[in-house]
Amino acid sequence: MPTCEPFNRAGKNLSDVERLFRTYNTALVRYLTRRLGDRDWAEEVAQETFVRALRQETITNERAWLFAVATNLVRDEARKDARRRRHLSLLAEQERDNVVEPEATTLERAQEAGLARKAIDALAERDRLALLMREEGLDYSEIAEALDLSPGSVGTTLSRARRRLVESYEDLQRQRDTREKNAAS
Amino acid sequence: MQHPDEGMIHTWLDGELLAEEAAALEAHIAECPECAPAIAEARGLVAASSRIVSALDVVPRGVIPIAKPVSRAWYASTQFRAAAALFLVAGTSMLLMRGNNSRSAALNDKPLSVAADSREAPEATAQIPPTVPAPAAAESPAREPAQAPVQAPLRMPVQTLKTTSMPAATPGFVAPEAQSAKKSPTSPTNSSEPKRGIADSRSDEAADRVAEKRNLGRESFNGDVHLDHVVVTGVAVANESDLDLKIISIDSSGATRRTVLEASQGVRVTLVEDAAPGYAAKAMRSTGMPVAEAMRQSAASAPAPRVATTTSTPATPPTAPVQPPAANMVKSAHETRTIKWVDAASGRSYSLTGPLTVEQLEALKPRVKKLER
Repeated sequence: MPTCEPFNRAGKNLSDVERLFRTYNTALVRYLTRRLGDRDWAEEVAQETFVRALRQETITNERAWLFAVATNLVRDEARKDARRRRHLSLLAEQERDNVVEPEATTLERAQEAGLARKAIDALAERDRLALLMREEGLDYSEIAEALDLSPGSVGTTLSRARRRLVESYEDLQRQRDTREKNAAS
Repeated sequence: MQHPDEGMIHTWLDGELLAEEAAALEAHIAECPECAPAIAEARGLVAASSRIVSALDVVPRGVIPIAKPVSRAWYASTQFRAAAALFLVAGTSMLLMRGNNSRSAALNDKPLSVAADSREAPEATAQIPPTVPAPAAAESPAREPAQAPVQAPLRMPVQTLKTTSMPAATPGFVAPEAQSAKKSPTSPTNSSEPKRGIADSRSDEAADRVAEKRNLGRESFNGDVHLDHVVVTGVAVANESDLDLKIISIDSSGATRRTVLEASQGVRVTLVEDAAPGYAAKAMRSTGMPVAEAMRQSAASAPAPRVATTTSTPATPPTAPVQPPAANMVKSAHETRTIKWVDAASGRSYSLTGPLTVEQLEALKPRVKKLER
């Protein structure tokens, strides 16, 4: 019996995309927010990612595919599909309740965020993306697929990214502490 | 098993090693004290990097700062502007209504509502050459009724009386501009001596044309006032009692004192004060009734609005084309009326003459008495 769901010519119906959206939007937006430093921009890219998913006939590894497309969209500043994004905006409104908003920004947290941003920006692009994807729960195979890496190199990439991130962050912290100490003296 | 590299340790910590590889690594770590610090460091890096990445979430939505509202001066605030706009609208409406009321009051037999038409005076003076004399009434008698309301806003009539023979005084009309130029109330052209040339006749025709044009615009004021025809150039005086009588000249000869008063702009009346009692008594004897009463009855007996022969001055060709601005003025500006009374206290007799109706003169009498006091 044929389904009553609207059917996309490319082969993926809207209910599939909605499922993808509800499953991965939160992680994807968070990943993109961490990546871009802007929540609105991140949501925009995420919606564009799901629009692309609607066009895609088959997706074997959904999460890897979504993160890879989102990453490429950030790179390429892909054009937007306003009409389909409107539909997804409605879904985003519903999904937004599930996103745990960060606590109110204090000065200390803002300073930490600034250091974290500097540290993450200091990473190589591939290390940064791999780390952010891992933080969103992507497994090695998904990261490898999204970033077009060999599965065996993801561990090395992640270990390098983590070490450099922490070292960079600690360096920035020391510099800040030194400045504050000099300012106090 | 060799010591695992950092990548493998992270892979193991991330749970990404195959089961066999993980089992072999765990067996090695349990026996190798050198790898323990590396394992601990890797755990710390995983935890620390995760915390640092989480710190990135402290990003407010919309990093574009909201523009602060520009602090404006107190007079630039929205509330002040709204209040000023309201005040402007209310004030303008009030002025228009007051002007309209003044005009309506003028049409309702209130005397001397010259100010009601003051808004039209600038336009009129701009259009009319100041030296254009009025067409003689004898030349165009049929035109007079139509012109009476037309000419009103153009110029204010000024009546001057010969100081030597007041009862037979010949009223003359002169344009305010001409009068102001001559600086004398007695100097305007006397209607008995106009010797106008061709140029004056042409001026008459020009004045007639202007008067006809004015008549077209004037018709709108017979009914409702159309705002698109109104040019507000001044504020009408709402209360005519506010207008003080202005003494233009005083001429005392013998027992008679003749005072020329300006009742309103361009409207002048003459008060003759006779010290000899019995002046009014004569008039009473001649008519058999009080003079003022005779005036009222005569005025009521239209269509010939001329008052008692002893007090009405025959119409003579005026020298100014203008009539009183309001409809309550004398319909025919070529006539003057006189009212007389005797002050019971002093026994003095008074006569008040001017281009007004008897009712208007009566209304003017208390003000004259007040001025006398």
